[in-house]
Amino acid sequence: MSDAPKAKMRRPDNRLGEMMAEPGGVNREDALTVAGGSLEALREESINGIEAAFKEIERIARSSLAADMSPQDLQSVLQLTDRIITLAGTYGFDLLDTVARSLGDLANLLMERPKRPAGAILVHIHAAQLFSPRAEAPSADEARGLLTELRKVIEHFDG
Amino acid sequence: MSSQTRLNLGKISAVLVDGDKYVQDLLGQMLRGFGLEHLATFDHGDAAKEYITKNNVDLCILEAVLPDMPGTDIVKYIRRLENAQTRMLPIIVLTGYTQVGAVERARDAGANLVIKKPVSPRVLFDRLAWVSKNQRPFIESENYIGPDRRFKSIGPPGGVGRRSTDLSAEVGMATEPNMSQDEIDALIKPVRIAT
Repeated sequence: MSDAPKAKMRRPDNRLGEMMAEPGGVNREDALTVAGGSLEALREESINGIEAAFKEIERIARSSLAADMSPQDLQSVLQLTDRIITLAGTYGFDLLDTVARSLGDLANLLMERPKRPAGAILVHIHAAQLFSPRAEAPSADEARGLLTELRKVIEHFDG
Repeated sequence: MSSQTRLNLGKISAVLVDGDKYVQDLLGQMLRGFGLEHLATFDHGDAAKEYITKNNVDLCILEAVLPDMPGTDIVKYIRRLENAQTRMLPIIVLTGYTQVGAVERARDAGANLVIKKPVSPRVLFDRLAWVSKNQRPFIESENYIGPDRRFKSIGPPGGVGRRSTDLSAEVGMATEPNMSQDEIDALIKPVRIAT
Protein backbone atom coordinates (compact mmCIF):
# COMPACT_ATOMS: atom_id res chain seq x y z
CA MET A 1 0.00 0.00 0.00
CA SER A 2 1.55 3.30 -1.05
CA ASP A 3 1.75 6.19 1.41
CA ALA A 4 2.10 8.72 -1.40
CA PRO A 5 -0.29 11.67 -0.98
CA LYS A 6 -3.39 11.43 -3.18
CA ALA A 7 -3.83 14.08 -5.83
CA LYS A 8 -6.81 14.68 -8.09
CA MET A 9 -6.42 16.14 -11.54
CA ARG A 10 -9.39 17.85 -13.15
CA ARG A 11 -9.93 19.50 -16.48
CA PRO A 12 -12.13 22.49 -15.63
CA ASP A 13 -14.37 24.20 -18.19
CA ASN A 14 -12.56 27.13 -19.73
CA ARG A 15 -15.30 29.61 -18.88
CA LEU A 16 -13.00 32.62 -19.19
CA GLY A 17 -11.70 31.49 -22.58
CA GLU A 18 -15.22 30.82 -23.90
CA MET A 19 -16.46 34.26 -22.83
CA MET A 20 -13.42 36.03 -24.23
CA ALA A 21 -13.80 34.20 -27.54
CA GLU A 22 -17.42 35.32 -28.03
CA PRO A 23 -18.08 37.48 -31.10
CA GLY A 24 -17.45 41.17 -30.62
CA GLY A 25 -14.83 42.58 -28.33
CA VAL A 26 -11.76 44.48 -29.43
CA ASN A 27 -8.73 43.51 -31.46
CA ARG A 28 -5.28 43.84 -29.97
CA GLU A 29 -4.28 46.93 -31.92
CA ASP A 30 -7.40 48.89 -30.95
CA ALA A 31 -7.23 47.69 -27.33
CA LEU A 32 -3.62 48.87 -27.00
CA THR A 33 -4.45 52.23 -28.57
CA VAL A 34 -7.35 52.85 -26.18
CA ALA A 35 -5.41 51.61 -23.12
CA GLY A 36 -2.42 53.76 -24.10
CA GLY A 37 -4.68 56.82 -24.32
CA SER A 38 -6.14 56.04 -20.89
CA LEU A 39 -2.64 55.85 -19.43
CA GLU A 40 -1.74 59.22 -20.90
CA ALA A 41 -4.78 60.69 -19.15
CA LEU A 42 -3.30 59.46 -15.86
CA ARG A 43 0.23 60.80 -16.47
CA GLU A 44 -0.03 63.89 -14.24
CA GLU A 45 -1.74 61.98 -11.45
CA SER A 46 0.95 59.30 -11.68
CA ILE A 47 3.70 61.91 -11.37
CA ASN A 48 1.89 63.17 -8.26
CA GLY A 49 2.06 59.58 -7.01
CA ILE A 50 5.82 59.44 -7.64
CA GLU A 51 6.39 62.70 -5.77
CA ALA A 52 4.18 61.59 -2.89
CA ALA A 53 6.31 58.43 -2.63
CA PHE A 54 9.51 60.55 -2.54
CA LYS A 55 8.11 62.60 0.34
CA GLU A 56 6.91 59.60 2.31
CA ILE A 57 10.21 57.71 1.93
CA GLU A 58 12.10 60.82 3.03
CA ARG A 59 9.80 61.21 6.03
CA ILE A 60 10.31 57.57 7.04
CA ALA A 61 14.11 57.82 6.69
CA ARG A 62 14.35 61.14 8.55
CA SER A 63 12.31 59.74 11.44
CA SER A 64 14.96 56.97 11.83
CA LEU A 65 18.10 59.10 11.53
CA ALA A 66 18.83 58.88 15.24
CA ALA A 67 18.62 55.08 15.26
CA ASP A 68 18.56 52.22 12.76
CA MET A 69 15.56 51.74 10.50
CA SER A 70 13.13 49.05 11.57
CA PRO A 71 12.18 46.18 9.22
CA GLN A 72 8.65 47.67 9.12
CA ASP A 73 10.03 51.01 7.97
CA LEU A 74 12.11 49.29 5.29
CA GLN A 75 9.06 47.31 4.18
CA SER A 76 7.19 50.59 3.71
CA VAL A 77 10.15 51.97 1.76
CA LEU A 78 10.10 48.86 -0.46
CA GLN A 79 6.39 49.23 -1.21
CA LEU A 80 6.75 52.91 -2.07
CA THR A 81 9.81 52.12 -4.19
CA ASP A 82 7.79 49.56 -6.11
CA ARG A 83 5.26 52.28 -6.84
CA ILE A 84 7.99 54.55 -8.21
CA ILE A 85 9.42 51.72 -10.35
CA THR A 86 6.00 50.80 -11.70
CA LEU A 87 5.02 54.36 -12.58
CA ALA A 88 8.48 55.30 -13.91
CA GLY A 89 8.55 52.14 -16.03
CA THR A 90 5.06 52.74 -17.37
CA TYR A 91 5.84 56.28 -18.50
CA GLY A 92 9.42 55.70 -19.62
CA PHE A 93 11.27 57.74 -16.97
CA ASP A 94 14.34 55.58 -17.45
CA LEU A 95 16.86 57.31 -15.17
CA LEU A 96 14.34 57.52 -12.34
CA ASP A 97 13.60 53.83 -12.90
CA THR A 98 17.32 53.03 -12.55
CA VAL A 99 17.70 55.02 -9.32
CA ALA A 100 14.50 53.55 -7.87
CA ARG A 101 15.72 50.01 -8.59
CA SER A 102 18.97 50.89 -6.84
CA LEU A 103 16.93 52.13 -3.86
CA GLY A 104 14.98 48.87 -3.86
CA ASP A 105 18.21 46.84 -3.96
CA LEU A 106 19.56 48.89 -1.06
CA ALA A 107 16.44 48.48 1.07
CA ASN A 108 16.49 44.72 0.48
CA LEU A 109 20.19 44.58 1.44
CA LEU A 110 19.55 46.58 4.62
CA MET A 111 16.74 44.19 5.54
CA GLU A 112 19.34 41.45 5.96
CA ARG A 113 21.74 43.57 8.01
CA PRO A 114 21.84 44.06 11.78
CA LYS A 115 22.60 47.78 11.19
CA ARG A 116 20.20 49.66 8.93
CA PRO A 117 21.33 53.30 8.65
CA ALA A 118 18.69 55.65 7.27
CA GLY A 119 21.37 57.90 5.73
CA ALA A 120 21.91 55.53 2.80
CA ILE A 121 18.18 55.60 2.02
CA LEU A 122 18.17 59.40 2.25
CA VAL A 123 21.06 59.66 -0.22
CA HIS A 124 19.14 57.51 -2.68
CA ILE A 125 15.85 59.34 -2.34
CA HIS A 126 17.56 62.69 -2.80
CA ALA A 127 19.16 61.37 -5.98
CA ALA A 128 15.79 60.05 -7.14
CA GLN A 129 14.26 63.48 -6.64
CA LEU A 130 16.84 64.93 -9.04
CA PHE A 131 15.45 62.59 -11.71
CA SER A 132 11.84 63.47 -10.97
CA PRO A 133 9.78 64.09 -14.13
CA ARG A 134 9.10 67.61 -12.85
CA ALA A 135 12.72 68.41 -12.00
CA GLU A 136 15.15 69.99 -14.42
CA ALA A 137 16.85 67.04 -16.09
CA PRO A 138 20.52 66.62 -15.09
CA SER A 139 23.10 66.52 -17.87
CA ALA A 140 24.33 63.12 -19.06
CA ASP A 141 27.61 63.62 -17.16
CA GLU A 142 25.81 64.57 -13.94
CA ALA A 143 23.49 61.58 -14.29
CA ARG A 144 26.42 59.22 -14.87
CA GLY A 145 28.24 60.64 -11.84
CA LEU A 146 25.21 60.26 -9.60
CA LEU A 147 24.55 56.69 -10.67
CA THR A 148 28.22 55.82 -10.03
CA GLU A 149 28.01 57.23 -6.50
CA LEU A 150 24.80 55.27 -5.82
CA ARG A 151 26.48 52.08 -7.00
CA LYS A 152 29.25 52.71 -4.46
CA VAL A 153 26.66 52.92 -1.70
CA ILE A 154 25.18 49.59 -2.78
CA GLU A 155 28.65 47.99 -2.99
CA HIS A 156 29.40 49.20 0.53
CA PHE A 157 26.44 47.24 1.90
CA ASP A 158 26.78 44.32 -0.50
CA GLY A 159 30.35 43.51 0.52
CA MET B 1 0.68 37.82 -31.03
CA SER B 2 -1.21 39.16 -34.05
CA SER B 3 -2.54 42.72 -33.98
CA GLN B 4 -5.87 41.21 -35.00
CA THR B 5 -6.07 38.93 -31.93
CA ARG B 6 -9.53 39.67 -30.55
CA LEU B 7 -10.71 39.42 -26.96
CA ASN B 8 -14.23 40.05 -25.72
CA LEU B 9 -14.11 41.16 -22.09
CA GLY B 10 -17.61 42.64 -22.16
CA LYS B 11 -19.21 39.91 -20.05
CA ILE B 12 -16.21 39.16 -17.84
CA SER B 13 -16.52 39.94 -14.17
CA ALA B 14 -13.06 40.67 -12.80
CA VAL B 15 -11.53 41.59 -9.47
CA LEU B 16 -8.42 43.76 -9.15
CA VAL B 17 -6.66 43.96 -5.78
CA ASP B 18 -3.74 46.36 -5.29
CA GLY B 19 -2.95 48.34 -2.17
CA ASP B 20 -1.41 51.20 -4.11
CA LYS B 21 -4.09 53.58 -5.39
CA TYR B 22 -1.91 54.90 -8.23
CA VAL B 23 -0.99 51.46 -9.54
CA GLN B 24 -4.58 50.26 -9.11
CA ASP B 25 -5.77 53.21 -11.24
CA LEU B 26 -3.24 52.41 -13.97
CA LEU B 27 -4.22 48.75 -14.18
CA GLY B 28 -7.94 49.55 -13.96
CA GLN B 29 -7.65 52.02 -16.85
CA MET B 30 -5.79 49.49 -18.98
CA LEU B 31 -8.41 46.80 -18.34
CA ARG B 32 -11.29 49.17 -19.06
CA GLY B 33 -9.46 50.18 -22.23
CA PHE B 34 -9.59 46.50 -23.28
CA GLY B 35 -13.38 46.62 -22.94
CA LEU B 36 -13.73 45.19 -19.42
CA GLU B 37 -16.98 46.60 -18.03
CA HIS B 38 -17.41 44.70 -14.76
CA LEU B 39 -14.36 45.42 -12.64
CA ALA B 40 -14.42 45.44 -8.84
CA THR B 41 -11.34 47.05 -7.31
CA PHE B 42 -10.03 46.59 -3.77
CA ASP B 43 -7.02 47.84 -1.87
CA HIS B 44 -7.28 45.32 0.99
CA GLY B 45 -7.34 41.55 0.90
CA ASP B 46 -10.18 40.99 3.38
CA ALA B 47 -12.73 42.97 1.36
CA ALA B 48 -11.60 41.21 -1.82
CA LYS B 49 -12.00 37.77 -0.24
CA GLU B 50 -15.53 38.58 0.89
CA TYR B 51 -16.49 39.86 -2.57
CA ILE B 52 -15.02 36.84 -4.36
CA THR B 53 -16.86 34.47 -2.01
CA LYS B 54 -20.24 36.13 -2.56
CA ASN B 55 -20.09 36.91 -6.28
CA ASN B 56 -19.47 35.14 -9.57
CA VAL B 57 -15.99 36.21 -10.57
CA ASP B 58 -14.30 35.11 -13.83
CA LEU B 59 -10.83 36.55 -13.34
CA CYS B 60 -8.77 37.77 -10.40
CA ILE B 61 -5.71 40.02 -10.72
CA LEU B 62 -3.90 40.81 -7.51
CA GLU B 63 -0.71 42.29 -6.18
CA ALA B 64 1.67 39.99 -4.31
CA VAL B 65 1.94 42.31 -1.29
CA LEU B 66 -1.21 43.90 0.16
CA PRO B 67 -1.54 46.19 3.18
CA ASP B 68 -3.31 43.56 5.31
CA MET B 69 -1.96 40.26 3.98
CA PRO B 70 0.28 38.70 1.33
CA GLY B 71 -1.54 38.30 -1.98
CA THR B 72 -0.73 34.61 -1.81
CA ASP B 73 -3.14 34.32 1.16
CA ILE B 74 -5.98 35.29 -1.18
CA VAL B 75 -4.78 32.78 -3.77
CA LYS B 76 -4.75 30.00 -1.17
CA TYR B 77 -8.15 31.11 0.16
CA ILE B 78 -9.71 30.98 -3.32
CA ARG B 79 -8.15 27.59 -4.05
CA ARG B 80 -9.83 26.12 -0.95
CA LEU B 81 -13.36 27.49 -1.50
CA GLU B 82 -16.30 25.05 -1.67
CA ASN B 83 -17.65 26.47 -4.93
CA ALA B 84 -15.70 24.62 -7.64
CA GLN B 85 -16.11 27.34 -10.26
CA THR B 86 -14.64 29.99 -7.96
CA ARG B 87 -11.99 27.60 -6.66
CA MET B 88 -10.63 27.12 -10.19
CA LEU B 89 -10.84 30.80 -11.08
CA PRO B 90 -7.91 32.07 -13.19
CA ILE B 91 -5.64 34.17 -10.96
CA ILE B 92 -2.89 36.50 -12.13
CA VAL B 93 -0.44 37.75 -9.49
CA LEU B 94 1.54 40.95 -10.06
CA THR B 95 4.92 41.28 -8.38
CA GLY B 96 7.11 44.31 -7.86
CA TYR B 97 10.84 44.58 -8.55
CA THR B 98 11.72 44.62 -4.85
CA GLN B 99 9.68 41.54 -3.89
CA VAL B 100 12.32 38.85 -3.59
CA GLY B 101 10.96 35.31 -4.04
CA ALA B 102 7.43 36.52 -4.84
CA VAL B 103 7.24 34.67 -8.16
CA GLU B 104 7.89 31.27 -6.58
CA ARG B 105 5.54 31.97 -3.66
CA ALA B 106 2.71 32.98 -6.02
CA ARG B 107 3.23 29.95 -8.22
CA ASP B 108 3.28 27.61 -5.25
CA ALA B 109 0.15 29.20 -3.80
CA GLY B 110 -1.77 28.24 -6.98
CA ALA B 111 -1.63 31.31 -9.25
CA ASN B 112 -2.17 30.72 -12.96
CA LEU B 113 0.31 33.36 -14.01
CA VAL B 114 2.77 35.78 -12.42
CA ILE B 115 3.60 39.09 -14.10
CA LYS B 116 6.42 41.40 -13.03
CA LYS B 117 5.55 45.06 -12.82
CA PRO B 118 5.70 47.52 -14.50
CA VAL B 119 3.01 46.08 -16.75
CA SER B 120 2.54 47.67 -20.15
CA PRO B 121 -0.82 47.45 -21.98
CA ARG B 122 0.83 45.10 -24.49
CA VAL B 123 2.05 42.71 -21.81
CA LEU B 124 -1.27 42.73 -19.96
CA PHE B 125 -3.31 42.11 -23.13
CA ASP B 126 -1.05 39.28 -24.28
CA ARG B 127 -1.03 37.61 -20.86
CA LEU B 128 -4.82 37.81 -20.64
CA ALA B 129 -5.04 36.18 -24.06
CA TRP B 130 -2.61 33.49 -22.91
CA VAL B 131 -4.52 32.75 -19.69
CA SER B 132 -7.81 32.53 -21.57
CA LYS B 133 -6.44 30.13 -24.20
CA ASN B 134 -4.21 27.93 -22.07
CA GLN B 135 -6.40 26.14 -19.58
CA ARG B 136 -4.10 23.83 -17.68
CA PRO B 137 -5.28 20.77 -15.73
CA PHE B 138 -6.25 21.64 -12.17
CA ILE B 139 -4.47 19.77 -9.37
CA GLU B 140 -5.99 19.18 -5.95
CA SER B 141 -3.66 17.56 -3.44
CA GLU B 142 -2.91 17.81 0.24
CA ASN B 143 -0.10 20.31 -0.28
CA TYR B 144 -1.10 22.12 -3.44
CA ILE B 145 -4.32 23.25 -5.11
CA GLY B 146 -4.09 25.08 -8.40
CA PRO B 147 -3.22 24.77 -12.07
CA ASP B 148 -0.63 22.17 -13.02
CA ARG B 149 2.77 23.82 -12.48
CA ARG B 150 4.49 21.56 -14.97
CA PHE B 151 4.96 23.12 -18.38
CA LYS B 152 6.01 21.29 -21.53
CA SER B 153 9.04 22.82 -23.16
CA ILE B 154 8.07 23.10 -26.79
CA GLY B 155 10.67 25.60 -27.94
CA PRO B 156 10.09 29.15 -29.07
CA PRO B 157 6.78 30.19 -30.70
CA GLY B 158 6.71 29.36 -34.38
CA GLY B 159 9.88 27.32 -33.99
CA VAL B 160 12.05 30.39 -34.52
CA GLY B 161 14.30 31.53 -31.67
CA ARG B 162 15.58 35.03 -31.07
CA ARG B 163 19.12 33.93 -30.31
CA SER B 164 21.40 31.83 -32.44
CA THR B 165 21.65 29.33 -29.55
CA ASP B 166 17.85 28.84 -29.20
CA LEU B 167 16.64 25.36 -29.95
CA SER B 168 14.09 24.85 -32.68
CA ALA B 169 10.58 23.67 -31.74
CA GLU B 170 11.48 20.11 -32.75
CA VAL B 171 14.81 19.14 -31.24
CA GLY B 172 14.81 15.61 -32.65
CA MET B 173 16.80 12.57 -31.57
CA ALA B 174 20.38 12.72 -30.31
CA THR B 175 22.90 12.26 -33.11
CA GLU B 176 25.94 11.59 -30.94
CA PRO B 177 26.51 9.29 -27.95
CA ASN B 178 26.02 10.80 -24.49
CA MET B 179 29.11 12.32 -22.84
CA SER B 180 30.75 10.31 -20.11
CA GLN B 181 30.78 11.64 -16.54
CA ASP B 182 34.54 12.30 -16.88
CA GLU B 183 33.93 14.43 -19.95
CA ILE B 184 31.21 16.40 -18.15
CA ASP B 185 33.45 16.87 -15.08
CA ALA B 186 36.26 18.12 -17.30
CA LEU B 187 33.95 20.72 -18.83
CA ILE B 188 32.93 22.25 -15.49
CA LYS B 189 36.25 21.88 -13.66
CA PRO B 190 37.88 25.27 -12.88
CA VAL B 191 41.08 25.72 -14.86
CA ARG B 192 43.88 28.13 -14.00
CA ILE B 193 44.69 30.28 -17.01
CA ALA B 194 48.33 31.34 -17.38
CA THR B 195 48.73 35.09 -17.84
